[in-house]
Amino acid sequence: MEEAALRVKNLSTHFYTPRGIVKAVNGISFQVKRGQVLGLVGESGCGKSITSLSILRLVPTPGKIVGGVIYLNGKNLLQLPKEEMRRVRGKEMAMIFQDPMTSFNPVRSIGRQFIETILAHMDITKEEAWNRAVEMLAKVGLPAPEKVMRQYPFQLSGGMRQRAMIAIALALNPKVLIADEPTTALDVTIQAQILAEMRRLKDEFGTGILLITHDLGVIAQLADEVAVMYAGSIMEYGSITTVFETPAHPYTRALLNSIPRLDRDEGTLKPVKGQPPSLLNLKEQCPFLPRCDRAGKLCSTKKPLLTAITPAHRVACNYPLSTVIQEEEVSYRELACTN
Amino acid sequence: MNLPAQTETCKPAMLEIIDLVKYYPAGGGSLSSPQENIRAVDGVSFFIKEGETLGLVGESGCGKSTLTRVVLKLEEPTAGRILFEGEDVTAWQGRKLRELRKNMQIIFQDAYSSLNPRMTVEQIIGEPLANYCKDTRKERRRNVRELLQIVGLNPEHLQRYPHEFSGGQRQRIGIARALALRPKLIICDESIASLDVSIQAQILNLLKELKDGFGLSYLFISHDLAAVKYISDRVAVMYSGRIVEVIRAEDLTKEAGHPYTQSLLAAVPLPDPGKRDSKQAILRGEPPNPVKPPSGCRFHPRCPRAAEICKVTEPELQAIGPDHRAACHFVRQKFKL
Repeated sequence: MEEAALRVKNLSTHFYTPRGIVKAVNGISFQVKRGQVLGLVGESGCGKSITSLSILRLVPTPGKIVGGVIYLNGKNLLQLPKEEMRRVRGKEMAMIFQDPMTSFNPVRSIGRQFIETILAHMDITKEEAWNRAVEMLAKVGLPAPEKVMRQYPFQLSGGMRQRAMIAIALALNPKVLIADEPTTALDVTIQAQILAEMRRLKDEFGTGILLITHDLGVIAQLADEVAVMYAGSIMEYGSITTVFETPAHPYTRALLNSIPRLDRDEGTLKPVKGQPPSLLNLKEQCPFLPRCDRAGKLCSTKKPLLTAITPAHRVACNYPLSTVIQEEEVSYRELACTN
Repeated sequence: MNLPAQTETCKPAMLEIIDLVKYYPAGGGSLSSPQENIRAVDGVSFFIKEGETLGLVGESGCGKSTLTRVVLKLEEPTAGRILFEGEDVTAWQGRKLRELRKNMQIIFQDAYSSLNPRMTVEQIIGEPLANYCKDTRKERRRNVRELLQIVGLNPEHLQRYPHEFSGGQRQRIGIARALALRPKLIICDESIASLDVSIQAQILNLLKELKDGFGLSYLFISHDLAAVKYISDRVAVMYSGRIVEVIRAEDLTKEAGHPYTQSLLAAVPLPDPGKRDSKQAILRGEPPNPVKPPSGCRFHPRCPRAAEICKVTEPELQAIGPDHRAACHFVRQKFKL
């Protein structure tokens, strides 16, 4: 049986601003399985980064986690004392960010920062820590790891910095790795290198990865499961092939139709009309309603919940796209209306 | 030296670049150490026909942005010539340059930092009109309203400030400003890179519509190969300050001849979980140092096909098919020309 390394249930994070409550994350649930990748995909401002910060309990003020539970290997992180939470971060759960330049300290060598991280969690000598760091840098494919240890972040290229970041994140063998747009700042050839590295390390260490990105290509190439997020809610959740091949939510389908493709001639792109809604004072309706071409009478009054349509495929839509033939789709819509 | 290219109708190209070079000094220059140069653009030639979109792709640091600045005459080239509608504009200054700028506009990557936050939309879009046209205030307002409508914004939002708009809308303001003087050529420098996925398609389609509506030519610079393929007629691939391949967009995925173009294409993650290729040939290493580019073919240290000749002789950009040129010793001519 597959065991979830990280389980998030009904997580809500709100920001209390002078202009009102910004509901960045609204009751989302998902799990990251051991040795698997869950892709969390969405546009900017949909709450995906706040989700990752909530899991690490690093939500900046005036944000607050207002509800939900987060289980990491059976421990509810939201109930841990601060001291213990600090031990979890880095050791049991690590994070890599979009821009490794800003997540490294620019005036300390890579080696010093690496050893600092290891020594904060492990009771070993400096020399042992150094050896472990060198070993990890070599594992992520950095040439001359001893040299890298003595270098400063600015002396490394973007791709090398991100590799060093991944090495530090995996050095303590965490159960869960949160990767927030890990390749967005990198060139496409370097991105391919990093993605291959992440795939290899996941298999080798059995780490569960929460991969957060707006890039549907990266998700399709790396994720086992995918959760599509929109305006603080998960709209669709399922195995990667199911969601990409038979999307049930109009938003997922619209997203997939709006990207130019290298592997086919798409004719004219069909963009999603309008823009994502403001998260300030969200109404009790489907957040995708203003942009949806399938909206029915239910959508303005009832915010759809994430419901299973097959055991491995869940969707939050009052009128989900049918995966079967057209006639049945119509009857399904009528059925949904009478409910 | 290359001769100016002639299009089929014998009309001069809208824009033509011949052997363009731009070096920046990078320290040195004393008796003990010779002057070193960053070779940002190192002998680039291409042309854009009237009504054509030329896509320019390449990784960061390959010289794309330097190229735009030189083409727009914001910087002086170290060597080479720039021809606009057949006229050599390389040395133009003063009034002539001013007239030239009317015909060449740019849309930047980050619409937020390229719009003055303290100016209203009317002032922003009206500024090029105020600089070039002797129109009354009323006429100008009418023009700005019309421009807003063209780019799909509400003409009632004249008095709003940039921060009141979303990223996609701000990019539309930038496009309206570029269109204001009815230019012939617009350079789009990573114009969709900072936009959301669902907004990118809106802007790409808008750019396509405007091109047909106003008979524009584009130089579309991007690192996003799929977007470039979508919007361009032809695609030029740049590596370490040189153009390594020029190819028709519709042939890009199937006919690409240069190993670098092929590696770039292979590195793009396809949004299709059924097309996962775990054995894909991943390009090793990183782009070269522009101060000391490798000898011979600049791509040879990373090239899977490199042989002895590649370390010694730099390959010429040679025609290998219709509208298809590549700079590689091993790319084969598809037919006799």
